[in-house]
Parts: sequence; structure tokens; C-alpha cells
Amino acid sequence: MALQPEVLWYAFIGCLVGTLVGMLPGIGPLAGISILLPLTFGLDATKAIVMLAGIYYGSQYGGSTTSILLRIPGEAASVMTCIDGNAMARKGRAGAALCISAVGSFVAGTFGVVMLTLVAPPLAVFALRFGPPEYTALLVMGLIFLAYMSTSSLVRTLLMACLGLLVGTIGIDVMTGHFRFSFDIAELGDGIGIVPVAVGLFGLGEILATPSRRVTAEVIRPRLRELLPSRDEWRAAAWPIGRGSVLGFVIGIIPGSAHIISSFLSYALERRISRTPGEFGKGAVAGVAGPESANNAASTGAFVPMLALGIPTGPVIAVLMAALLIHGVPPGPTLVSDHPNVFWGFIASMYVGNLMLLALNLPLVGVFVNLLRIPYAYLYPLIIMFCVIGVYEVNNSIVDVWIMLIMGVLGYALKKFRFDPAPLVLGLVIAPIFEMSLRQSLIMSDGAWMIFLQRPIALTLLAASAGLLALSAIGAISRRKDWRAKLAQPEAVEKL
Amino acid sequence: MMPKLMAGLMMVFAAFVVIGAADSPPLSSVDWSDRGHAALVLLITAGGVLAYRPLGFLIAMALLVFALLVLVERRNVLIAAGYSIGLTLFAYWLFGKALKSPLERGLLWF
Repeated sequence: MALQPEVLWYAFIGCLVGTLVGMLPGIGPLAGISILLPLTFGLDATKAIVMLAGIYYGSQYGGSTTSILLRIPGEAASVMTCIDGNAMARKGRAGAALCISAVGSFVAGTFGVVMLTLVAPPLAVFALRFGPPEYTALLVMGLIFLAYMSTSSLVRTLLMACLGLLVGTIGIDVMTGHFRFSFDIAELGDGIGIVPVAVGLFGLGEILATPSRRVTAEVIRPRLRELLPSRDEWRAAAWPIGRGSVLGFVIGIIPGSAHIISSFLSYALERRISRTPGEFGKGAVAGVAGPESANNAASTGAFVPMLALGIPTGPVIAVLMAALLIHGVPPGPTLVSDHPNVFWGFIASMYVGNLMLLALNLPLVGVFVNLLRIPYAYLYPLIIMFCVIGVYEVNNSIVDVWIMLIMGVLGYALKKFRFDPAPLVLGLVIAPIFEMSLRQSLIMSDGAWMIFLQRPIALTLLAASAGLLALSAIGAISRRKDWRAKLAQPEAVEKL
Repeated sequence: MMPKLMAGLMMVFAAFVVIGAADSPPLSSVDWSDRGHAALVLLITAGGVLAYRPLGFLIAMALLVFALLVLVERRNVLIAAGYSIGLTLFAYWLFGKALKSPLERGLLWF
């Protein structure tokens, strides 16, 4: 059924709109799906869900384009791609970065769909065993894992993550209804959005730190073979794509902003195991291949609980579920048996959709790369304008734009003092889930923190976190000993 | 609880950063040569944001891009004017017409 021309047509519309939506900062897949949802009322359930799902995973492809070319994360999950993707572009490898991103996304998306088909039921059952203490422990482990994997200081990474968590507490306390740190500004009652923070830190902060005189005026005219990755670059991308696919899919099953978290973890993992960690931040292929694969695999994995159990893993999936319900198809354990045409049609369309996205994005690489031929002095005002419009359009709030400006200044300062801003964004993303899980856990245990040690899965996760911290501490101590030993050598020579 | 917990952890981690400060390069090694550019870009962008609602999307954004090109980049005034007007009109078409995002009208009727 998915190969019928009509269904393919709607899959194509979804993929195209999703790619465009992903490219534009401030207009995420949630807005795109919500805007197009009413248009699906006249369609049958299969076509509707195929089109809307196409927007979702299409946006993961599109978000990487602006990340690589303009260092503006088009979509929150593309934040990590900004770092090395844009660095590759500045080295004249924009086409290669875009290709690797597209192919990595395709491979990961296809892998995710195959896994979705094979392992959806048992994996979804395991994810159901996660209660609030397990979520809390998982998020703690995720943050510590990220900090451990970072080759920069673990303490600095955790400091930035805690800052992000603190910023995430601004707004209405969902449990008590009190306003926190809103300073009587009504817009702050909803909290600080991810888009103004990410665009400010990565987009505006970079512009503030880059006067046009520092950017080469040479107009790069890439030849066709320069648009494609070299053999070495493909080789460097292969394993990160594989690892990112697996990591992303596993994390995608767990409710929360999994596609964002998965890209952070993938980046940290690749940087940690790389033989050339110093390349990260300067155009490392693995820094693009891994996160882009992870976020695509995670966005596919997010469908597992929705299809198998009827549980939304995030707001976008929730809207997709609403679309199914509107069409009289309740997602959940009975979906496969009662509406097999919808379930299998949806699965099959994802295979086709991934091919469509690859076909859409690869030929357009040359078109996108031409954006870089615009002199930087004319390019960055365009970027600033798009940032202002994109951030404003999220909530029609000028306060968000002011937040973006403040974050731009912060991003500039962090760059100067060599703090990594990415953990701040991660902390902001997981803050609501983390706080809710923590407080629910303490409510369950009447305030006893021992609950985290009394549940096996939570205990295992926290033990792993403690192990990572211990490993990091041992590493830091041994480095200090080396430093002192080296310092003692001149003294020893002098004594002799 | 959460804000206190995070603030407490931040103080602990900040203390570790301070303790390890001796291993870091000195503050004087930080390059601030771009601070003038950063301040000017920030000021102009803030001006554009302040003018966004009163003047509207078309006027405020065109003035923002024009000011950046002329005051920061010292480009030719005519070229800057043409570029800023063209860019703003393109953005108006993309966001206002194609994506149907509501844009601030300000002084204009559209």
C-alpha cells in the first residue's frame, strides 16, 4: 500500500516540507505538523500519518543544512552539527559535510526503521519499566557520561550543564503553580525556550566573535568532485554513522527529547574514542556523521512506544498520535491487529521516505554550498535577520528575541573563556523532565533519597555514573602527578 | 528545591574551576580585539529589536541590515540600501506569504 502513487506523493510532500521546516530556525517540526494537521482531515489515516511523519524525520535532515552552512541550528537536534559541520564548511568542505550528513541520516533512518519493524514490541515493554527514579538516574548518567566523554574539563562541562538546568527552572513550577524567576514578566512564565538559547549561543555568539576582516574574502568555487566527500572522509564517517545509528535508536525509545540528547551523546562518544580528539571543533568528520545519524535514528526510535504502546515520547509524537486518533485509529497494542494497513503502510512509507530525503538533499548540495559564496560581510546581516525573525515567530514574543541577544553575549563570553556552550543547551532541554522525575521520585518515597538506591535499574545507572566520575577523578589526579613529576625534574637536575 | 540544588552544584563546580585556575592560561592571554565589532553589532541588533514592533517587520529589518552594512562593514550606501531592501522583501515573502507567519505590521498596513 505504501508504494501506491498517492501515498508516495504525500510522503514526498511531508519530506519536502519537513526539510524546509528543519532548515528554518524557529519553525520546528512541531509547528510544521500542527499547521498541516487540519489539511489531513480529508485524507485517510495512512496518507495523513505518512505525510505528517515525513515532516518529522524530514526536519532532521533539513536542520543540518543551516547548521553546517550558517552555524545556526535549524532544529534543536542539529546543535552539535553546528560545531564541526560549520568548521568543515569553513575549510571548504561544505559539500562533503552536507553529503555525509545526508547519507548518515539515510543510513541511520533506514536502520531505525528496520529495528522498529523487528524489535518494537520487546523494547517498548522494557521502556515501560522506567519509572521516575529510573528516569532521574538515566538523566544523571547521561549528563555525567557526556561530561566524561568531553575532552575538555569534566568540571566545566558539568558547570555548564547545571547552568542549563538552572535556566530551565525559570517559569511556572508545574507542581505548585508558582512563578519562578519570572520577574513579573508574563512571557517568562512559560520558561526560557530552547530556540532563543540555541540560536543566541551558537548563531549570534559566533557572529559577535567573528569580525568580517577575519573571514577570507576569497570566493570558493567548488568543483563537482569537491562537493562530494573524499575516500578518507567516507572512511572516517563509516563507523560514527554505525555507532550513531545504534545509540540514537536505543535512546530514541526512551521518552523525552531523545533525538536532541542522542546527538549530544553521540558527539561526546565520538570525541572520546577518536584517535585525533583535537580535530573536534575544527572540522572532524565524525563530529558531523555521528550526531546526524544519532538524531535520525532517535526520531525513528521514538515511534516505538507510540506504535506499540500508545505512549507519546514527546510533543511531536503526541501530535502525530492526535492525528491518528482524529482519523479513528487509536495507537497502541491493538494497532497492528486492528489496523494492519495503517501500521505497515506507515512502516513501509518510512523506508521510502528515507530514500526520498536522500534523493532530495544530495542533488541540492551544490545549491546549498553556493550560499557560502556570499561575502561574509553580506551574509551575517542575513543570518542576524533570520535569527530575529525565526526566534520571534516561535511564540510571537519579543522577550524571546531579547533572550537570544543575552545568550549571544553569553556565547561570546563563553567562547573567550573556553567554556563549551553545548552542555548548557542540553541542561535546558532535560530540565523539565529531570525536575519532574526527581520530584515524583521523592513524592513516591515521602522525601527519602534512598529510593534511587532501592530500585535495581536506577541503582545500576547511578553506579555507572559514580564509576565514570571515579575514572575521571583518577585521570585528573594522575595528570597532576605527571605535571608535578615534570616540574620536579629541573629541580632534581639542579641539585645534581 | 531544584533551583537551590542546581545553584549549590554550580558553586561547588565553580570552586573546582577556581582551584584549578593555576593550570589555565592567564586572563591577559584572552584576545579581546573583536570587542568593538561585537559591541557595535549587538547595539545595532538591539536597536532593530526595539524598533521591531513600533516600526514593523519591513522597516525595522531593512534598517537593521542597512545599519550593519554601513556602520559596521563600511559598505557603499547605495549597495547596502539595495541589498537590505531586497533581502527584507525576500524574507517578507518567505515568512509572511509562503509560511503564513504573522509578521509585525508596525507603521505599514501590510
